[in-house]
Amino acid sequence: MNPASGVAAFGREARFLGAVLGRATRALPRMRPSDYVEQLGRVALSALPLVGIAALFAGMVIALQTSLQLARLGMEHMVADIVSVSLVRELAPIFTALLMAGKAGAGLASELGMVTLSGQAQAMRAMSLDIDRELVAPRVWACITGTVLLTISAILLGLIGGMILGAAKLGISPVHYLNRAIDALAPVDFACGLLKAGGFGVIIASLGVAFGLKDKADAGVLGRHTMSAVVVASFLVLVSDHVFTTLIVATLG
Amino acid sequence: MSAAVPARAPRTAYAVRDLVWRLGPDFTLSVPALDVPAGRTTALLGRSASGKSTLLSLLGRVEGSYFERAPDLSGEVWLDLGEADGERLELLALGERELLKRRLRGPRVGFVFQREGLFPGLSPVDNIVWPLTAVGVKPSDATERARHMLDRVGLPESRTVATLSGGERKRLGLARALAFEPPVLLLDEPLTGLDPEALGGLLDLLSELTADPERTTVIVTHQRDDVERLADHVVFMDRGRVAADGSRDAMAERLSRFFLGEVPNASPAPQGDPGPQPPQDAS
Repeated sequence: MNPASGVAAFGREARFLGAVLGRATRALPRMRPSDYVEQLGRVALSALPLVGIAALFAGMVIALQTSLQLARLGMEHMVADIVSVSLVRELAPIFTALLMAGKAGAGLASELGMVTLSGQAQAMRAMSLDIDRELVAPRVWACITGTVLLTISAILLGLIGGMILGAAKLGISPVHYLNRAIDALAPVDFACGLLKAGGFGVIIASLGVAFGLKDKADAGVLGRHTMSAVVVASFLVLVSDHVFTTLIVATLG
Repeated sequence: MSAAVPARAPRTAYAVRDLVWRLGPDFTLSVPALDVPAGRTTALLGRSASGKSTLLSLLGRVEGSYFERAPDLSGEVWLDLGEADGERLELLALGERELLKRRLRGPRVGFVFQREGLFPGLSPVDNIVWPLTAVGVKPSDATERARHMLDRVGLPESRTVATLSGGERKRLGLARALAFEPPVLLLDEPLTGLDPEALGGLLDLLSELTADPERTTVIVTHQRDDVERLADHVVFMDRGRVAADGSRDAMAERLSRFFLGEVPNASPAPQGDPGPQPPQDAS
């Protein structure tokens, strides 16, 4: 691919994302709450075991690795402080988003891809059914809020994981661990983590819906679009993390 | 909407003007002028991939993608819904949002697809009820209409969409479009893949529906029976162009030759225009 066609392709994809977000926003007042709740259940509840177990073990591993480094400085008592801040500001939003890109992003792209491939989307247009209201808005908003809610769950379970490791390996009492973790956190840390989670949700949702509703000729294209939704979302989550962090730090401190 | 509106008498339901749609290096739909008479049934005939379904998709404004207007599409497609509606619309000038707002597709222009586009998570009744209620029909009326239409196409309510055969799916797709009672009906090979008994019943039903002088029907078909029983007007397509069109009587000889395998050829492309090549994937 030469640079010009690469830039053109990027422009097309960016336009698709903009179109999805614009349509989801305009359709928000028309969206049925029951559709949103149904999609939120599918997106968030179905991913909760995966995100929860991952967060629990991630909390333990981070606490273990951090304690090993801190031990060299004789500062093991700081482990709860460091684990909690890094979880809230950075790690929980990032790994929740990456898991959501793989699960919810792929789910949206494949589900809506089948709707497109089987002619349902075209049939909906032919019967004046509002695709933005019926398909786009509930999925986009459920994915965004689901990513934020799952990030909160990941923070809580990550802290519990660190607490378990602290008690089992470092001899730190759970109450002491939790007190230090809570003392170390400021509202700005939560704002930073949850704003990023919302931004990642926007990326995952709009890519999943955009790749799902793109025209496709056969099942092979559906597979490629689903894979692209996951790969591009994961890449953009990692790249945008830096952008979001810079912006939030500059704004909130 | 700059071009002169086509003449009213005799009324044409569709007036296609200077329509060009480049679908790729191998295929261009090019229809300089075509009138579809109102209150009649027009059959679109031609080889596979001659542009019949592509033209039909433009008449129903279901072409292209959900996201954007089809690129490389120009020209005009006028729709006249008659005096009662008092509207003549240039369809290609309307965006998706405007089409949705006007509720043109479905209630006023019904479309039956080759791929039926049924909703597999819904029962046959709900496949009909959902679109009806979405355009404002009361749920009780919609359910009654759905049951009536399923009965007319001979499909039991108790089946699930997943267990329907190909022919039954066709019947449900037809029932769903007919439930709106649209004044314009666009049918893309609605009777292919049906067993002889179902075919006879549905042909009788379509014959009855298309006999209504208030209803304009355009049907893409390869079946001789469909043309003989339903069509008043015939359009032959060839490589994205209209090869010939006229009343069924005027086209009688060409029709006979067509069903013997001799397809009318479109005139060569104007000089300087490479013209359409044998199409690959448009039909």
